[in-house]
Amino acid sequence: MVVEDDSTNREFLRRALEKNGCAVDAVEGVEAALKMFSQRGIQWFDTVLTDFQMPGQTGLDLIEWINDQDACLTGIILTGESDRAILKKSLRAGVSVFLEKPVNLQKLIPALNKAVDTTHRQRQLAKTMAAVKTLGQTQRSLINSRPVAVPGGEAVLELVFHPKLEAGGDFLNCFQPEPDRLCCLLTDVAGHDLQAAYVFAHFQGVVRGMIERAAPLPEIFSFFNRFLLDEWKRSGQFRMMHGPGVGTSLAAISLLMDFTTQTVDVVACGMPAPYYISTDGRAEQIGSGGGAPLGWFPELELRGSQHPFQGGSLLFWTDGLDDLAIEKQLHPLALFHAFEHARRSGQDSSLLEDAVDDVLCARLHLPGASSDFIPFLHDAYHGAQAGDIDQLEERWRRHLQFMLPEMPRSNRHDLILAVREAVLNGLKHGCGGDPEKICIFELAFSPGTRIVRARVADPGPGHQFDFVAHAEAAAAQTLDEHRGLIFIHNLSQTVRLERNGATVIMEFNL
Amino acid sequence: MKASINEAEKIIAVEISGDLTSTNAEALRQKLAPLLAPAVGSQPAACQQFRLSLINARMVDSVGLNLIVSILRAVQAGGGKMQVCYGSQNVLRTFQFTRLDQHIELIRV
Repeated sequence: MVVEDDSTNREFLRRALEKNGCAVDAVEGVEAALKMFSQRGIQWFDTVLTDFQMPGQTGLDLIEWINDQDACLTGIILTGESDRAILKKSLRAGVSVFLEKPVNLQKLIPALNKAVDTTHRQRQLAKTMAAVKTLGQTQRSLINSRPVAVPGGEAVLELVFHPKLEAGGDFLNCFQPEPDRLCCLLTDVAGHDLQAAYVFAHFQGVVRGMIERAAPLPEIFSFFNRFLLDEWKRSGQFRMMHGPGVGTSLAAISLLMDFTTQTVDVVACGMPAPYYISTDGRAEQIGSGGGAPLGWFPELELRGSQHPFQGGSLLFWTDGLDDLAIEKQLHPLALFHAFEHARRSGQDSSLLEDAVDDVLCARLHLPGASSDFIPFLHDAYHGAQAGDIDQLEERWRRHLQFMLPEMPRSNRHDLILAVREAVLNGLKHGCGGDPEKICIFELAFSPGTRIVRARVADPGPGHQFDFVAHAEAAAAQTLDEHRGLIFIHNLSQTVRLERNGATVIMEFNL
Repeated sequence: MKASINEAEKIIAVEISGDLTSTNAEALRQKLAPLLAPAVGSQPAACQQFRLSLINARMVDSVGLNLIVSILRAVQAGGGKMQVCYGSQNVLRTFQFTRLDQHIELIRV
């Protein structure tokens, strides 16, 4: 559009631009320009060439109006005044070029072409941004908690999703291939672009179709690995986006629950292993996590595993949570519960702002009973780690301060001292100092009863030891054996032994 | 660890700089061995009093307590007595529930 009050100049500009291949609407002022925009629609125009000084409103007023309506549309102001202040103001208002009168066609035509290109580029970018925003909204609506009717009741998915950008690379899909089976598919596609969404959409379609035809999960993952390495990589689309030799990768975990047999099949590829939280609130890592994602290597080392369940819940998440947990020196379970707690309170945890990747945490409540206990630390120590006990103690202290900052210092002292005794006992006696043997340590908290529970389980045979009788003798005769058991029993409110004492469960009042 | 010996009054005073736990108990045992040697065997009356200062300790674990018991036995064998100075209630409770407060004089500092 050409906007010029001087009819001679207006006609000169119209002809010059038409000669250059432009379709031109030429009007005599701002009011006529607005009418023209209203007739044709602002999107019809590629740029606006306007005089500065005109009767009524100026060319700068017009550019400011355009910016409010369509910030992508560029403008060129022609003026006889070389006023620097006006120049500065017009640049702020989004003028592409500022040309002095009389117009020099050798300067005008290149400036006009550049302004048209800029408008096209900005409009394309805006369309892409809108598409990504829509994708993000669709992703959020797909990744949503909803109850699913299964035998025995309802399975309810609860999740925290925090993409770093409008649309993330993390996706979650749950579907029922049969009335008594439920599949949760969590993926993390490299990148945060539209391609990630297409790869996920294709993957979940493949998984869904193959599961419905009774294909085992490892076979499905292998199939998609071959697809990424062969078909996707060979496609022109792939070469255009990545160049030769670079692959699209997809980390995934699939949990396929059978509510008739009460078992869950787990396959993970480049994704953290999930946790099963039993009805008494104990955490158990199921399946094996890590490894290479799909799309890296032709040979996949996939190990599917099957685990029983009875009530409780399944927790799984993408590696964004693991990365954040490493940075914060906390167990992912502690962060999981902090995020879950914040979300239930209707807000986002401020810790999520420190995440460098998308974070998606999901909890699937299984039908049946569940525990009030929230496990927030679940560690595996090898038998030769007794020398690291001070570092471990610091780790326990950090988790207690993070999860239970209100815990009185003396209570925290008792808990840490009792746990120290139990873990050292597990490492030295239960594992016999063997680096191949593992001692499990877990901290959990019950908000209802305000009890903190510590569980130490070693692989040893346990013991038959009457600590009460020994405590008397140890005090009377100043014996120096088995004093650790006396600590454990005196520092905790309750002690429960399982597996002949190889598992020690201590409870402490908050 | 700081140690001082008053040979005239046969008093040994040892101050531990922090917690007394499995992490440092064995090293302390080795450092204390020469101090305690006169109190056993041929010179049983060498140490009449052993003062252990735990005023900087927040925690004493079972291994640390075993070291204290072995010192106590060595001192008692020579007819001597043991005192422990503490600054933390947590440390006091450890001596109480293990009933070592029946054998050791505990002094709040």
